[in-house]
Amino acid sequence: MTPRRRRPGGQGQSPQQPNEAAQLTQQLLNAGYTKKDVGQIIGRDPSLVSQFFTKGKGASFVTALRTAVQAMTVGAANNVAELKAVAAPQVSRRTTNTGRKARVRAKDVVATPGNSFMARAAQQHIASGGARLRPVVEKTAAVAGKLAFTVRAKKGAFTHNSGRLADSAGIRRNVVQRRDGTEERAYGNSLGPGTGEFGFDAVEWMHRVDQADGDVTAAVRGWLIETGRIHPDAVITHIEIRGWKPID
Amino acid sequence: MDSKAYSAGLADLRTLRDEIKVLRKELDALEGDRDRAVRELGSHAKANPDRIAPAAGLTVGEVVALVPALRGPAPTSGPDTPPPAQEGVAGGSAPAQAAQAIAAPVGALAPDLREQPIPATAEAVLESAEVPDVEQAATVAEPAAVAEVVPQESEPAAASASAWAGATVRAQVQVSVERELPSIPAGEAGDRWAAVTANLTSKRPNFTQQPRAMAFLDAASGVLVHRDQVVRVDLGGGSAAEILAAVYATVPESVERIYITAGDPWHRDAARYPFLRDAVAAWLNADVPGWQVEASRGKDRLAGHLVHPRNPVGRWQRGDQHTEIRNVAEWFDPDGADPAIVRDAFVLLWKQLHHLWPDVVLMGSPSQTGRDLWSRTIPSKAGSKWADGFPVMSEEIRGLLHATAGQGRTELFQPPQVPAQLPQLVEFDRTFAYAKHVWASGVGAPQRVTAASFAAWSTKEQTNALFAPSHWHIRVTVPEGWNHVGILPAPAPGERAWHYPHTPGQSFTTWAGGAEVNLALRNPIAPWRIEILDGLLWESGTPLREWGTRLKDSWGALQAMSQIHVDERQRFAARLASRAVRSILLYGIGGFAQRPRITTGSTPIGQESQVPAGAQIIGMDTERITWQRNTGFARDPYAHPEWSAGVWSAARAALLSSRMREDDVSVGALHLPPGAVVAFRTDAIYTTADATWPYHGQPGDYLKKGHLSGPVAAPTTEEEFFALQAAGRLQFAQAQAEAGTQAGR
Repeated sequence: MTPRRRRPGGQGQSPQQPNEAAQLTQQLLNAGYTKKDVGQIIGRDPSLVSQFFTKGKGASFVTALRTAVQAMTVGAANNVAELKAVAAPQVSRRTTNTGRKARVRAKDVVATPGNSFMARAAQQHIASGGARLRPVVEKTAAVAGKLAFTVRAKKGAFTHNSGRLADSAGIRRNVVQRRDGTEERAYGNSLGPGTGEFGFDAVEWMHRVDQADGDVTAAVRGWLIETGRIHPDAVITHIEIRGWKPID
Repeated sequence: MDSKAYSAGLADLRTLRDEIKVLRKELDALEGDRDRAVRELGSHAKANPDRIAPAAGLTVGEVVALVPALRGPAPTSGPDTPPPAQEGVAGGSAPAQAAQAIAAPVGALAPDLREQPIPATAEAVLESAEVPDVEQAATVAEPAAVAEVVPQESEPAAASASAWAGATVRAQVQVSVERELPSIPAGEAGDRWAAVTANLTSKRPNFTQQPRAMAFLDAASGVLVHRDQVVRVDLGGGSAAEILAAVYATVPESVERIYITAGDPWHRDAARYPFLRDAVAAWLNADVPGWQVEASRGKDRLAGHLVHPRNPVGRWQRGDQHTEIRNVAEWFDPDGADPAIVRDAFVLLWKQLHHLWPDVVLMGSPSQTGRDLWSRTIPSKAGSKWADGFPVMSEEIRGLLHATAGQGRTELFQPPQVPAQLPQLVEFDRTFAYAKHVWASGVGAPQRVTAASFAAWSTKEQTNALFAPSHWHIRVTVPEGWNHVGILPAPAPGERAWHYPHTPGQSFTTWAGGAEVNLALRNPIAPWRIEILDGLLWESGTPLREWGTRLKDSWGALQAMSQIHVDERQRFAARLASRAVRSILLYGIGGFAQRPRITTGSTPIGQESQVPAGAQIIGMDTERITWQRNTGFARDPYAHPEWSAGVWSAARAALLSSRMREDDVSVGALHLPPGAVVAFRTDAIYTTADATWPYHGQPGDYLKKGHLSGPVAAPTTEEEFFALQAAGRLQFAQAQAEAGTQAGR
């Protein structure tokens, strides 16, 4: 279900309307700039500028906008580029509680003109079929490329133990042990001497995915279970699938 | 609880039951509504299960089950016919793909190698040149054995159905699906493989490496050590920018390498990232004011960051000044050592190696150092046999070795192979094991030995071949009545890569090194039946002997220092330095097994077109895409997988049986009673039999490292095994400490 439209300000309280960021933006709009221009001035997406009005956002841009408006009023800046130059020093990245730069959610899909593709999904997206994973398999199969994937799950989910760092055998290749008791295991990379396999055939995988009604995670799970790599009841929390076209 | 409380509890339970009933009814109704809605939406012309599924909170499969009409049409991408199940098994390089199926394999039976006056050490196995004329025992393979009709593998379809077989053949796939190893193509095509790469030899370098000044930083405590200077610096949040700023505020610009001894700063935000590599990439790629990512450095192709989940390498430059941040764990586990001890370890390491290599320079990693040191032992005297350098094998042979030569043996035996209650568990670990197996290696172009040519040889020639550096494609039959551990590796399905079949009468086809084939034929219990299908035979040489001996000597000296030095900190440092020598040898040998070279790089988002063709995207954040690329079997003049394969094979063979000539005893797993071996871990044996094998601190000797008195339940999982391993080591250490105190009194 689409999230219910929340009232501005949320929590049922009506915010001060319009807020200061919106008021300052309005002054710029009155002067003939567009919301897109304002977005450029503060180096953000124009949809965020709209949300100053509709969702009461923008508190952190007040200083920057005020500087821009002042520069505009006194005539120190007369176009977007100049306004951007005066506003930019006042715009800073969002920070975490500890003062570090906050991480911004990264895109989960990437494709390059050179036929390299990657997509990843976490538990929630996996639960609903991981639709964004499928194009990677499709596009890679279309160019008859190779696939590799990484799954992350609880350590106990994997049938074959990865060993310990301190153990004489060391840690297996393509396994990363995380501190929270999960492991990332990569498949389709060369496992090192004696295994000689690099990349899975994407066309082959396309058929597997089709048989799983287009659910890539289900296909991967099926393969992992079939080949005795994970327990049938294992929960895969993260999956990343990579496709590429090898150059000969 | 009294009866009153009991009755009250039951009453509560009834209430709960009724509440659940109501809610469940409600839930069922809601789910019914949902399913109805899904069906309704599914009838829309543009309905797409990928969109309906997230909206419905169902998986795609469940949506399709509700609306079968949504089941996708036949794939438009890719060929119409499903590929044969076998394709993609190897998935490796073209030469590996060229592997031909052995439709009716004809093997040549290997001769009986028993009853020979040859010491059973793996060393001797490789010292073939010195033991050529051994008289054969009576049981000799007749050339007629070639024509022997070997029963075909039953149900070839099922046997060859790989893990890759699609669901259509799922029913036929048997539980144990074997990987099939590549083989050399028949006839001339295969003969062409047995060659060396033209104009590519390992030569002694005519330059010395540029030494780099190092600093050592504990990123957890901020202790920074450079030469004699020990200071505590404030690293703030531990970003690369903060580390570089803090370090270069203290040390001179001439320092070009910063080893992190503790703290793993690149993992500081790991919990925020779905994959650890992303955390490392984000740490490496974060802005470092004043510094740029190193673009290139002379001819150094390693420039740029290396995104590795545990041991990343960050390389930056500021004008002409270059620096790199590395993890000291590449060399040894610092084991809680402070940065000053780690510095001392590197000083001791350099001094020790300097005795034997006047031009030694410690490179960034032990494998690089190992390779550089080795290249400085290549004979350069004019007229000596390999003065022009050691030739590098053909690409096909390198690919074949890459696919068919495994590394250390890891195996856990479970009941009923071992008793359910172990009387005790003893750990024997081969000290610095690989150093013992660098004595002789195959050099030059290999000779291809087909089944026919092997069968045509005299027994003497056959015997010589099986004592020489070699790599064999064989069909093996475990002898009837065999009750001990397996000897030869076989390709295993799934993640295990290799297993070691030991069921009497079992037959399998595999590749194995000369040392292991040799041991299978003349092991102390019963000879195995081995048919040679194909093989590669090298001239025996000593390319690694000088290198190995010097490293062994350095290791010995540092080991001694770690025992006898008066200063405790120096003892600690010497111990770490000896571990570093071990890494140089171990990773140096691994480095010869050249894997397809992987390089990593990163490209800003929005410039995806600059990602090179063939790259695999391995991570991304808001600013950059991180990718890796397989640059193939580059023309690396130091690629010698035939040597690493030989060392690994010899080490696996010696784990089973080797002869200590001076003590006149045979040691190894096959000299333990049947059913006594609980586990193998590369160069360690875990057993229920407390053998009294001599230990002189020499490479290859078995050191008793753990002893857990029983009875204990046999481990059935690796976790249980590790618990017993730890308990055994602790108990043994305590027993030794007590014995020490008593002896001291």
